[in-house]
This record gives sequence, C-alpha cells and structure tokens, in this order.
Amino acid sequence: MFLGINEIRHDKARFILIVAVIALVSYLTYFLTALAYGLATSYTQGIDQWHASGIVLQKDANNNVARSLLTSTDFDSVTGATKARLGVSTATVELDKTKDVALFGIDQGSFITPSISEGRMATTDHEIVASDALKLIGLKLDQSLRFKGASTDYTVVGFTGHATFQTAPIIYMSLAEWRNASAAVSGMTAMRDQTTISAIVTKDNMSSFAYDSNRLNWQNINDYAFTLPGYSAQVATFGTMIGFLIFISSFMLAIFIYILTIQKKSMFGILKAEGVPNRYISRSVKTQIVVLVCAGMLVGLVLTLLTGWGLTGKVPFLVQPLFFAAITVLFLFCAAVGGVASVRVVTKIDPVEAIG
Amino acid sequence: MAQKLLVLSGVTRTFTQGSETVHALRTTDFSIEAGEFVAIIGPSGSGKSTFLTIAGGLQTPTSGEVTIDGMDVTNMNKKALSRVRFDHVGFILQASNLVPFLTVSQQLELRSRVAGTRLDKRLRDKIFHELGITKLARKYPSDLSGGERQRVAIAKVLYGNPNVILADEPTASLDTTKAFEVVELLARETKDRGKATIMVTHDERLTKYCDKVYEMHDGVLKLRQP
Repeated sequence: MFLGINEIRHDKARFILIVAVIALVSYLTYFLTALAYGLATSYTQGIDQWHASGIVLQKDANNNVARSLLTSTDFDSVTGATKARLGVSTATVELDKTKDVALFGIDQGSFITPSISEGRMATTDHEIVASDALKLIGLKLDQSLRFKGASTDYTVVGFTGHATFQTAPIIYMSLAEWRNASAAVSGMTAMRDQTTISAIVTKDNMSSFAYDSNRLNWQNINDYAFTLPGYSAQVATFGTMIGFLIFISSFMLAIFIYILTIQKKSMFGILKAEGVPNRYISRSVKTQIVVLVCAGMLVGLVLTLLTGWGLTGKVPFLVQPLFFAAITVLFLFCAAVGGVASVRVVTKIDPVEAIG
Repeated sequence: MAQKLLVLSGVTRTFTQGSETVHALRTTDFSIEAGEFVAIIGPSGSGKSTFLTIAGGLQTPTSGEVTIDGMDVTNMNKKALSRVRFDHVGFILQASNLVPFLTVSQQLELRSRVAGTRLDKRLRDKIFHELGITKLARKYPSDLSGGERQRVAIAKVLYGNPNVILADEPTASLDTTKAFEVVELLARETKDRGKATIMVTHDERLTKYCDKVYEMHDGVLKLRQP
C-alpha cells in the first residue's frame, strides 16, 4: 500500500498515462456495449413491451411478420391462451427528415396496447399514436401526418414511450385503419379480406394452448426476436467484438503492469535483501493494479455516460447496468490474473543479486 | 568481554560452474563484537561479497555455522532468514539502497510500515539531527548528492536499530572528503551505539577508522597484523 501509492504520487506523469490508456480502453468497451445494447433493443423494443409468451405467424411466411397474412379463421383456431391481433407493415413519413416507420395495427384495449406517455389513445378513424422517437424529427401532438404514397391525413393524438421495431419508430393505429394504410402505402390490395392481420400475440394460460399447425406456426417470443432480419447477426458480431476487446485490453493491461514490475526488479531485490517480505512487496504491486484499473474504469465510465448524454436521440445508446457490471468485473479479474505474473517476478528475485 | 554479535565458524561456500568447483569462500572463522568496526579489503572476485552475503543471512553456507545476534541461522529457511535480516542486520550498499520514489523521511517510514507500525517521528528527528540531514527530510534521492544519499542510508539503518551493520563499498561513488566523512560517521555510530559493523572496501585510506582490518584473497580471510 505505502510503496504502491507513493510511487503513483511520485511518478504522476507515468501513471496518469497508464490510467488514461485504461480509461480510453474501458471507454471504448463501455460505449460499444451501450451502442450494441441500444441497437439490439431498438430491434425488439416494440415487442419487448408486450411481455408476451409467443407469436403466431403464417407458416409459409418464414418467420417474417411483414409477409405473414392471417384471417379470422386463423385467429379463431388459436385457443387456450390470452391472444391479441396484430398488424405489421412499414411506411415512410416526411417530417424534418424522411423516416421509415413501422405501422402496428392493434385492437384497442388488448394486452399489446402501448402505454401512453402524452396525449391519449387513438379512438376514432384517422387517429394515430406515435413513438416519441418521432418527436426528435419534429412530430408534435395534434399534428396532421400523411404516409408517403397514401392520401389520407392522420392526426397524432398521443405519444408512447420510446417504441421501435427493427430500429424503426412505431406508429399505432386501429386494425381497420392499419388495413387501409398498409394497402394504400404498398399500392396494392394485399389484404385477404376485412379480417386480415399479420400475427397473433399470445400470453399466459398456455397449458391448453392449441392452434392450426398446418397453416400456422407458434414461436417463443425470444426465439422470434432472434429471427428478426439482422438481429442475431448483429448481436453475435457485437458480442464477439466486445468479448475480444475486453480480452485484448486486459491482456495489454497485464503487460503494462508486468513491465512496470520488471523495471523495479533491482529495487525489489534490495528491499528483499533488507528483509522486506515477499508478501509486502506483492501486496503493494496488487494494490497498484487495483488503484490503476479502478481509476481508469471510473474515468471511462464517466466519459461513456457523458457521451451517451451528448448523443441522446442521435444513436441508439442504452446503458444496461448488468452488462456494465459484468464488464467491470471481467476487467478486474483479467487485471488480477495479469498481476499474478508480476507477483511471480517479485517472489523469484534473488536478494543475493542485490549485493555485489 | 563484549558480546559477540556475529560468529562464523568453519564456514565454506562452494558452487559449481560448468564442471569446475569454485571455492568462493574457504574455511573461515570470524567473529565481531559490539562496538567493533572492521574492514575487509581485497581485490574483486576475492570472495568479499560471498562473505558478506553469508554474514548478512542472504544465503546459507555450504558447511559451517553462522550465528547472527545470538541466533543460529545456518539451516534457516528463506522466510526466517528474511525476518532475521529485517530485525538484526542493516545494509549500506554501494549505490545507496534507497527507494527512488520515496522521500528521505519515507525511506525510514517504509521500515515501520513493513513492520506494521507507524513512523516514530521522535526517533527519526533525533537520527536526522545527529547525521545533519534534517533539511533533507522531504527530498527525493534523485535530489541528493552521493554523500547525502549515504548519510540517508545510514539513517535508515540506524532507524531500524539492527545490531549488525554490513557496508558494501559504501564510499565507491564519493570523493575523498565525502568518503572520509561517511566512514567517520559510520565508525562513530558503531562505537556510540555498540553495533558491530563490517565494511567491505578496497580503499586502504579508510582503514584508519577501523579497529581491525581483514584481507581477502582467493576465498581466504586473513587478519592483518597491526
């Protein structure tokens, strides 16, 4: 403790540089994690909010909700679970910027109805509720809105929290309105009939759950998230990247500490000759590692939070405390493993070499 | 008769280098009493360092017995030897054994910290005053002259209060005036405090401060007759 801390105090410039390197590396790791988590969340945010057990799609739709078309016959064939009808399609809105949005058609009052953060739920025709992500490009309450390629005007009567699906902000409307809007936007009547929906979301009471398995396919909601186009590839890519980043930077850190220890070998030799026990010297090396890593990671964390705050709304940045805690623990663990190598250097020094 | 603080009886040290056996130290009998200041002179490679490392409990002899401050250390393990060195032996080395990133005062404090206690400020001030280095307390070794560094090294040893003091070429990096000052100081402290001090040197002029002078040649230690 005494040795380690006083050395840091004396060689400030050197240790500030080391802390800076650790800070930058942890900044990169934390920031990338928040971005990856934010991006992953923006794929599934819209469906995570349902707290659903699963989703039923048309069997031939290859898990793609945009290609799934179901009718009332299909809806009736699903029994034994709380169920909700869902229509999903995409459209483009032109506000300050042109933006793709996801259109969700729902039955008002079903369990997939979003909670309203501002305004009210859509009740009559031509009323919509939008994700507050659209506020960032200038959408306001009671504003009139038109989807590109369609001629109907819609009024924004409410906002939900931050709801996105495959990174696109969600606009909620009634199922009937959704059928009209989807048909108009795609320029064709893709609907089977006036009961057409995209999917059936299920929840609870799954004990006697049954459906027409010849035409339909049920999936656990988490499994379904992974089949969203690009989602699993994205999660795997970022996961691997972050994993390697932690591994490589911890290794780098261990090398730093090791070199620092080697440089002090002759001094440690003299201390050992004077009878200072191995335990004392090792402990001072370990204290130094902990102090340096903690200081560096704290700076990295603060930088990450500041950057996230500065970039609000511009990038999908989301802090998941559990992931951050895991990264911190992993870093400390790897640094400790690296420290073991340095401690071995200390114990192996022959004090006889210090004399003569 | 004064107490014998360090006794080597029938001590030898050999090691093998390739297929040859090197006799670093031939059968040696040596003892030193409290208040005695002895010098060991000899050319490099004569076995002075080997003698010093065995006398200081840094390594064990091939044969023979070593007693430091009344304790038989001949067959002690490394950990126990380390403990004996910490409590009973003080080292003053050629290039001053100071920790570069500790202030002069902290050099002394380190000893207390290792022992799990606090810095004894009164003892420190007393020693600093005696050695005339009070003004240097807050300086780092790199800010000191060679002579000042050796004074601090002596202060550090006195603060630990060991009975045996081993000085390995303590004046090697000093000019004549400074060298004489440092050795004179060492001799005085040895007398005043009743320590047993062995100084290895190859500077003949310094022997005038010593009670006895030994000569080392090819691993053989011989007392020079006055």
